[in-house]
Amino acid sequence: MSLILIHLIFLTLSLVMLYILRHKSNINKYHNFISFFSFVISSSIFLKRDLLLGTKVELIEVFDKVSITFYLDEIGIVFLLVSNFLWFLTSLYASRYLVLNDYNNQNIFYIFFLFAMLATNGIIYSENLFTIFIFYEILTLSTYPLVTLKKNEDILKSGKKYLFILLGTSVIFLLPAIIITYSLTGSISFSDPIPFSGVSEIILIFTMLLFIFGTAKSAVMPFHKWLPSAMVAPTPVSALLHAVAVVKSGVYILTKIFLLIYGSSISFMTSMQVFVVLICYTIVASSVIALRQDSIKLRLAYSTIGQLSYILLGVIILAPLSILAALLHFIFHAFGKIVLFLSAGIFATNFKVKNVSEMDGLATIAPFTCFSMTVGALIMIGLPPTIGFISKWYLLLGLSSSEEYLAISVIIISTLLNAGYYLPMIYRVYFNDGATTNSEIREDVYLVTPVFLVTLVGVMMFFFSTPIVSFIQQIGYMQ
Amino acid sequence: MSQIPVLIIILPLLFVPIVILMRMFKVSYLIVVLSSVLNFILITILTLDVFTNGAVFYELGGWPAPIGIRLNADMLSCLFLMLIGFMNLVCVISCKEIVEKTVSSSKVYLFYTAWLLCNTGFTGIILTDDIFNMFVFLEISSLSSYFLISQGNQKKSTFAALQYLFIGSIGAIFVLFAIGLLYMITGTLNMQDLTKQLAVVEEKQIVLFAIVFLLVGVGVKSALFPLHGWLIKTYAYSPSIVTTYFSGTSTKIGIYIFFRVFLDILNDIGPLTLFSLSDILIALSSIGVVLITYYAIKQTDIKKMLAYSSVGQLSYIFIAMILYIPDGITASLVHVINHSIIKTSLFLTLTLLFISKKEVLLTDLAGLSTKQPIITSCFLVMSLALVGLPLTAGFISKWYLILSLIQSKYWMFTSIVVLTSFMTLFYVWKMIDQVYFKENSNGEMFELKKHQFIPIAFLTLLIIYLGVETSLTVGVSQSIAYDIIYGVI
Repeated sequence: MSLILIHLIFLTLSLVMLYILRHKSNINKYHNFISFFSFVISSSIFLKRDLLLGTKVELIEVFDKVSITFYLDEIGIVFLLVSNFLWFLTSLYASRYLVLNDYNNQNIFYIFFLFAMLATNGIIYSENLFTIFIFYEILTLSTYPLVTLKKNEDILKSGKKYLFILLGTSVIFLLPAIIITYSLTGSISFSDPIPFSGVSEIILIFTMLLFIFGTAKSAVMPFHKWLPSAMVAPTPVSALLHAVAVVKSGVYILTKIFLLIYGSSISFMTSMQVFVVLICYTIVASSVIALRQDSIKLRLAYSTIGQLSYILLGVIILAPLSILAALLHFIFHAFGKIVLFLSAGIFATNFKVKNVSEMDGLATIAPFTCFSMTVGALIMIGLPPTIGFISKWYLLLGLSSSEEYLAISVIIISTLLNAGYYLPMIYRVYFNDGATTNSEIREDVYLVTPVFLVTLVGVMMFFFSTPIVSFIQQIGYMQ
Repeated sequence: MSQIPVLIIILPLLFVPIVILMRMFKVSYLIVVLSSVLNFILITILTLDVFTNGAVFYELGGWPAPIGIRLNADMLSCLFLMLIGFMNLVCVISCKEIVEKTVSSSKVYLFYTAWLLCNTGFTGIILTDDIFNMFVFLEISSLSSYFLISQGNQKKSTFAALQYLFIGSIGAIFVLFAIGLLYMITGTLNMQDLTKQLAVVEEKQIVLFAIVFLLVGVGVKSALFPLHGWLIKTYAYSPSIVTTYFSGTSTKIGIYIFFRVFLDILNDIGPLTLFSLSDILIALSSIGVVLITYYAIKQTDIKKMLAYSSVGQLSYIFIAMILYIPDGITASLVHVINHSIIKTSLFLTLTLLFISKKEVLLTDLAGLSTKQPIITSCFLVMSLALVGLPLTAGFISKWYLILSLIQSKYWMFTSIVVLTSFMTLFYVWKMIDQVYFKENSNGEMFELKKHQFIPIAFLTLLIIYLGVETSLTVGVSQSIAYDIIYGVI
C-alpha cells in the first residue's frame, strides 16, 4: 500500500481513537505522539519520494472523470514536511499552553486540531480539484470549533464571520470555478490537466479571479476579514493553523491551480496585470493596517495577509525565479510566522502582555522568547542573516527579470512598512524599561523549548539554504 | 413475474378493506407495515427486471394497448417507484408512536386507510400508461391526502386541508381540461399512442392550450413557484409524520408527471421551446428561489422554514429540467432523489424529537447537542447536506445543477443559483446555532428509543453514501436523460 494512503489512514484512525478516548484526561499525550508519528511518516515519504512522486491512488470514482484521488508532487512534499514538523512542535507547545490558560474543553481542542491537520494533509495529497474542495471544506468546518473554543458572545460572533466568509467564498466562487474548468476542459486533475483550447482570454481571467476569491484562505483582499476574526482562537491554533496550515493551504491550492492547470495553457498574459494590481494592493493595504494595530496577534495576522500575497505574486508572474522565490517564501514564512505567534502566546500566557505597547523591557525576563521573536521579525522584514532575505532576494530577481516595476516598488515599500511595525516591537523589548522588569515571573520552559527549536531550525536554514534551493529548482515546471 | 406491475397497485388496495373492517389500530398498523414491505419488495424486483431487461408493459385483462388499459414500467417510472416505495417504507416503520400520539384513537384506522390509498395513488400515477388513469390516481391520492392533512389536531390543519382541497381541485380540473383537449384531437388516451397521434395532428393550437392547462395543473401539484402557497400551510399544519411522508413523495409526484407529460409524451413537439416557455419558467423559478430562500431565512417555525426550503429546492429541480440538456435532466432527477432523502430525514428527525408538539419553533432545538449527541451529529449531516457541502448527497446534485447551467451559458441564473445555495446556509445555520450554542429553555424533547433511531441513522448513512458513490443516482439518471434527449427508447 502506498505511504500516502498509510499516512491518511493513520490520521483517520487516530482521529477515531481520540474521539473514543475523549473523556480521558491525558489525551494530549496521544496527540503529541500522533503528531510525532505523522512527522516520521512525512519524513519517510520525503526520503522515498522517488518511488512516490506521480503515483496516483484512486479511492473512489464519484462520477464521470471526477474522483477522490491522491498523489504527491514536489510542492506537496515541501508543504508536507513543513506542516507536519511544525505540527509536532506546536502540539508540544499546545499541551502546556492549554493547561496554563485553563481551557476546560481541551479534548475538543485536540480532536479538532487533529481533524484540521488531517484535512491539511488531505489537501496536500489531493490529485484533483474535487478532492481538494472536499478537504478545503473539511478544513473550514474543523477549524471552526477551534476558533470558538471559549464560547462567549464576541468569540461566537467572530467565529460566525470566520465560517461564513470561508464557506461562502468557497461555495460562491471556488465551486463554480472548478465546475467551469471541468466543463471547459473536461478535466480537473493536476497530474494530467487538459489545456484550455479555444477559450477566450476573458473567460480565463474571470475563472482565475473566481479561483483567487474562492480560496479565501489565501486571504487576498477583499475577502481577508476572516483571518483577523480567527485571532480569537487560542494561540496554538493561530500559530499553526492560521499562520501555516490553513492559510498555506489556500496559497498551495492557488499555486497548483496556476502552475499546473493554467500553466500548461497560458504564459503571462497582459491582462493578468489585474491580479498583480490586486495582490500588490493587498500587500500594501495589509501592511498599512498592521502598522496601526496595537494587539500583537492582530498585527501578526495582517502581516500574514501581506506575506501570503508575496507568495501569490511570485506564482502569478510565472517566471522561474519568481516561482522559486514563492516556494522558498512558502517555507520560510511558515517558520518565521509560527515563531512570532508562539512567542506572542508566551507573552500573553506568562506575562499577560497582549499589546505591543505593553512589551517594554520583556527581554530581561524572557530572553529566549525575545530572541525567537526577533528572528521571526527579521524573517518577515527579510533582513540577512535570516531566511527571509533569501526569498525576498529571489523574488526581486524574478520580478526584475520580467520587468514588473510596479511589483518591485510595492515590495520595497512593503519591506519598509514591515520594518515599521516589527522593529518597534524589537526595540521595545530590548531597549525600553518596562514595569514588569522586577516581577518574579519567568518564561515557562515547556513553552519556550519548542519555540526555540523552531527558531534554531529557522536560523540554520539560512546557512544550509543551498539544498533547499536546488531541491525546488529541480521541480519539473520550473523550466 | 409478469404480474408484478399490477400487483404493486392492487395489493395495497386489497388491504384497504381489511383495515377498515378490522378497526383495531394495532392490527391496522401491522397490515400497513406488511403492505409497505410487500410493496417495496415488489418494486425492487420490478426495478431490477427493468434495469436488466428494459421496459415492461402489462396489459390489463390481456387487452392490447390503444383499447385496453396498459401499465408501463420503464427506467423513469422505476426510479420514482423506488423513491416512493422507499420513503413510504421509512415513514411507515417509524410512524407507530407518532400516529398514536397525534391522531385520535377512533380515527387511527381511517388514517391508515387514507395512507394506503394515498400511496396507491402515487404508485398508480407512476405506473399507468393511460393519461386518464393518471388523472384518476391523482385524484385518489389527493382526496386521501386532504384527509391525512386534516388530522393535524390543530384548528389550522382543517383550514390547511380545505385550502389544499380548493387549490388541488382547481389544479385537477386544469389537468382534466388538458386531457380532454388531447383526447379531442387524437381520440386516444394511451400515452404511447398519444405520442404517435400527436406527431400527425393538424390542430397545433389546441395542443398549445393543452400544454398551458397541464403546466398550471401540474404546477399546482408540484408547488411550482407562484403556486406554492398550499405547500407551506400543508407542511406546517399536517400531522408531522404526514409532512415527513409528503416531503419525500407528494411534490415529487408532480415532478414525475412533468417528466412523463412534457419530456415523454409531448417530447417530440418540444413543449418547452414553444413561445419560449423555458425562458419564462427559468426566470420565474429564479425569482422564486430568491424570494423563497429569503422567506425561509425569516421563519421561526422550523416546519415552515423547511417547507419554504422545499419550494426553493423544487425550483432548482425545475430549472435543471427545463434546460433540456443531458446534464440538466440528470441534475434534476438526481436532486429529486437526494432532496427527498435529505428533507425526509430532516422532517423525520424533528418529528421523532418533538412527537407531542404541534408547533416546533427554532428555539425548541436549543441544547439538543448536550442531550442527544448522536442524533445531533445525524442532524448536522442532514443540515450540511441541505446546504450542499461535499461528501453529502446534496453536493452531487448541486454540482450537476451548476454544471448544466454553465453548459447552457445562463450566467445570470448560475449566479442566482450559487448565491441562493449559499443563502441556504443562513437558515441552516439558525438551526445549528440553536442546537450547539444555545442553552436549553423548557425542554419538551422526546428521548429516542432504539428502534426509532435506526431509520434516522440509516438515512444519514444513505446521505453520505449517495454523496460518494453515485452510480445509483447519477448513473441511472444519466441514462434516462440520454433517452429523453436523444430518444434511444
